[in-house]
Amino acid sequence: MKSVLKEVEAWREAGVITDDVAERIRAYYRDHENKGNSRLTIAFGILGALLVGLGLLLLVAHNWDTFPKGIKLTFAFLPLLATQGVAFVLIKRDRDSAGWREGCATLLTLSIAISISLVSQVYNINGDLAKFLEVWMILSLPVIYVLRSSMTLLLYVAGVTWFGLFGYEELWRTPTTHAIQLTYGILLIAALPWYVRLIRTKPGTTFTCLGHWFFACSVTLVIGTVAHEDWRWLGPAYVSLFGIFILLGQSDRLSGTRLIGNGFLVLGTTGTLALLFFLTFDDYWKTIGQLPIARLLPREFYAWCVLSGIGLVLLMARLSKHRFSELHGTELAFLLMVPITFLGFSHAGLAQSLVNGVVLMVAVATVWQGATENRLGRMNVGLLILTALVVCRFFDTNLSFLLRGIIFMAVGAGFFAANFWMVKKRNAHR
Amino acid sequence: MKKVVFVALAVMILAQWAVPGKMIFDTERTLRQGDTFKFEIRPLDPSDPFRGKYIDLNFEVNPFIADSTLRIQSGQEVYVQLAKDERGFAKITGLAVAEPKNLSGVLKTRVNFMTKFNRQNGQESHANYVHFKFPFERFYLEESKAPEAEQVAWRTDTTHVHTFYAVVKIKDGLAAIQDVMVNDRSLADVVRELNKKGSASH
Repeated sequence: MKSVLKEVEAWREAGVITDDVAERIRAYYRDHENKGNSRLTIAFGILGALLVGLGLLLLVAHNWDTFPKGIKLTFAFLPLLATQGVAFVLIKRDRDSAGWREGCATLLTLSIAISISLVSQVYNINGDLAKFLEVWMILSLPVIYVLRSSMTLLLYVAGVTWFGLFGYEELWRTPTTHAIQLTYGILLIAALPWYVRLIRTKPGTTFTCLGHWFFACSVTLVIGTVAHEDWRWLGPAYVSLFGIFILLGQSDRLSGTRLIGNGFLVLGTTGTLALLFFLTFDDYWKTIGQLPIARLLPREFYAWCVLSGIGLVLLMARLSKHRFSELHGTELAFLLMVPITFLGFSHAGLAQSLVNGVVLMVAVATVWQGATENRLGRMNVGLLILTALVVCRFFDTNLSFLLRGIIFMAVGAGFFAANFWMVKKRNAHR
Repeated sequence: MKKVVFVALAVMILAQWAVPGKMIFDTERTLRQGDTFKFEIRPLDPSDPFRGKYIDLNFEVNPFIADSTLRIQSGQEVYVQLAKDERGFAKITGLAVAEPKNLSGVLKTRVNFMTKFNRQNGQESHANYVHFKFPFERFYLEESKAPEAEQVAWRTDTTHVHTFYAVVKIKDGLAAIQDVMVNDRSLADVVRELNKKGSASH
């Protein structure tokens, strides 16, 4: 940077740029440097707090027999007291240093775990891991809002997800109370206001992008715990969930985010495609074909209905702002799966063929959009989907080798032709 | 605005102290004022990612034969009436779904699972067996001591010479472990002695 400033000074002296322009360039770099420093402070503040907090947790886990109860309990509350004190000072002085706030909030969140852990250890209080995580997260929730900490939001979502995963254990109990699933839902919703605020005020920042990934992964991992009577309904339920993710990822607030930071879009698209490919095989349709009609209404079925309903509302909202031709195809898959699944009860083979049709539609739509929007990457993704579909059918159809060979050659030629056409079009444009 | 943040901070701090504080208050009260029961046990050695090493107390008093008319489910909260057997160890004499009026010698616990079949000392029997999940199944030890404690337990189990039990205080349905004993000596002392002997022989 110093060399740039030297150059600026030289240009100014040589009369290449005016004094005003030189000052503006200097101000730009000063601002740029400050931003970089502040980011570094936040990163090191959080890293330091995480390491100290985790180190303290490990010291606690050693369980010092030689210390009397009073000293152990003092150690249990010391980190809590210290971090709460720092939090008080930060709020009182109104110091808006993100590094301090994030570091203090991270350490405070870990201090809560330390205090509960040490007290349970000293008194041999049972409490299973799920209960511990639940109490820890409930007590950590206010830290997000009081200290305006996005790092705590991420820790909180991770903790709540870990707690929610215990719902799978709950499934083995009869009758299942679904208490964990309900608590998980409430706890996750409780963090939403801060997450929405992050999206509104700081779109595209590291914390916001990580937030997209954490929320998307959390719901994907835990939604399976609604399974109770018939897991076969979970397949369509997941297709609807991924449909919602795609629509959220394409919403006005998130669509500007770079792809790697758009967890909803990436997870939704890969999830939808993976599930659709799975459904192009006959394994699933063989089992759903045997499903008695009397068992149409298990809990998973309702989950599917609710998710599809939410997806439909989001789709309508998208269509109110965009033309139908602007849709990518993947976001329509969940809606097409509704009649196809119902058809699967009586006509499993037809349903399977229709899913193949849906994948084909997604592939063609992606190729078409890539071609019209002059995006080589997208066009090739579409062609890859098409190739994958052909490869899948290569294994389970009774087509003759001659026909399969011709299809493969046709797809390969399509690849060449499409890319050649696109490059030629770009060159002509230049 | 700042006032609201301060109030929120105060409520947050209060809650963060209240939860562990309540845990301490309840347990201290039970330890000081509770009735003493001795539960025969056999320990194992798992570990908790947050709270470190502990021994898992496997109670000999489990399972209990319940009346076949009793309607209970796994995970349900129940009240068990405790008494002492001829050797002075705790035994379950009754099981109730509703909270009894007199809580003397009553433990609030949860049903873990139910079976119709049980095998004990090589003998099979059929009845309405209820297995409980007691609220005092963990005993925390210093990191190095938990595996040693398990060794002590298995040694005693094979020779059938020692008795291994947990001293539990119970008051108003709540329970707290006071100590884990081997032959009327604290397990921590026995393990400490073992460690000393081990280092002396080296």
